[in-house]
Amino acid sequence: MNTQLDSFETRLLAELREHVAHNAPDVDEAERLAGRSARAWLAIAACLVSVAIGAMLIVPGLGSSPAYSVGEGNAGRVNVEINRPEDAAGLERALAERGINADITYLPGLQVCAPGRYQVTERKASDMMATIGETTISLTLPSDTVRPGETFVLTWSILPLTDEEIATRNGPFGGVVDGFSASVEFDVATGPVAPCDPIDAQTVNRPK
Amino acid sequence: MSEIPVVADIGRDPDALEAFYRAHLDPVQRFIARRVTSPHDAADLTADVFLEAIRSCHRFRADLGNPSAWLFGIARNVVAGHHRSAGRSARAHTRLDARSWLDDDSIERLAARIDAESRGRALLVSLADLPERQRSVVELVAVDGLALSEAAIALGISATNARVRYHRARQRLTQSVPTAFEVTP
Repeated sequence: MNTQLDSFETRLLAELREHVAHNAPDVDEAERLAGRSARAWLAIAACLVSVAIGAMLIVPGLGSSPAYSVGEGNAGRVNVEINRPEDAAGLERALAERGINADITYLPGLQVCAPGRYQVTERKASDMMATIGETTISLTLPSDTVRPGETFVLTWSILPLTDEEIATRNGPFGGVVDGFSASVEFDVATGPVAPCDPIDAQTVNRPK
Repeated sequence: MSEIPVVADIGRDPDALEAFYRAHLDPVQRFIARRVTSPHDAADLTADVFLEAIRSCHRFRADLGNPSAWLFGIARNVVAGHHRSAGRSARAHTRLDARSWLDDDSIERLAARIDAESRGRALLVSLADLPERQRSVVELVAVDGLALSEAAIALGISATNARVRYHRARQRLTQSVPTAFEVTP
């Protein structure tokens, strides 16, 4: 326990405390939304990641149908529907056509990328919305969400569970949802994004 | 004192964050001092490590390891990211402009800490030829003093895997990895 802090350490502590205090209400709101139904478990990983990049609304919802679609809404918003974790490269190209540099990763099993592959932008990604369904993801990206030099990073993995696992399984990397356990992470990264090194999400304390 | 309840709360409770910060600041700063030579970089990286811990606290699972090992994993990734950035250009990104808060006394303390870790830096250099998978374990165990089980947690691998990697590294580098260093399983 360090009780004797110098001026730098004291200032850093004060800044970190302010950072936490500033973001705490967002965490509470995300958890409140995520707690509305059993399906919200799927959204928890995304909710808690999302607060790090600003005022983002997470709405647990329903999902269905084909691989992905990308369309434009009002004021240059880009709407993304991901219905199956297939053709990540195709989705990246579709987003690139709309000026959004993206790194989409679908992982088999319940895996996540090893930490440290990118740095999250310091800028607040305001108004970005993600709706997490059972096996779907819907995203709304305002026109300035991903700026030059930045990358929208999405990692998604889904693992079907046995009935026994559904009854017993739980954890911070995703949740039990109608026979699936899922991990969803998304960020706006600044600078280069390293390739994904898949690791088992359930057997590690994954530092970022 | 148990730190386990604190980790889950450091992203929302400033008091919990402060307790966590005070408990882990020294080992984090020593870890960084073994890997950089600039007090200003050390200041930035210290801030980055705690920011990442705040951001990632929901991922921590008390049943899989202790907070120190988890935090070392974060520190390792943050420092690795720093070196990758430095290789391309200048510092790519700092969320808190920590270096701007340094005064002469703080710089002197950081410089002294960096000097004190010169042997650790020399040992890290001596491990440079090891394959990354082996070097990562050896660094944490032989240089940073983690138990093999803690290094495994920090790296996100199984304890058995960490033990195998360390053993293989020792076979390759019997002269570099100090034989006096007792490895805790």
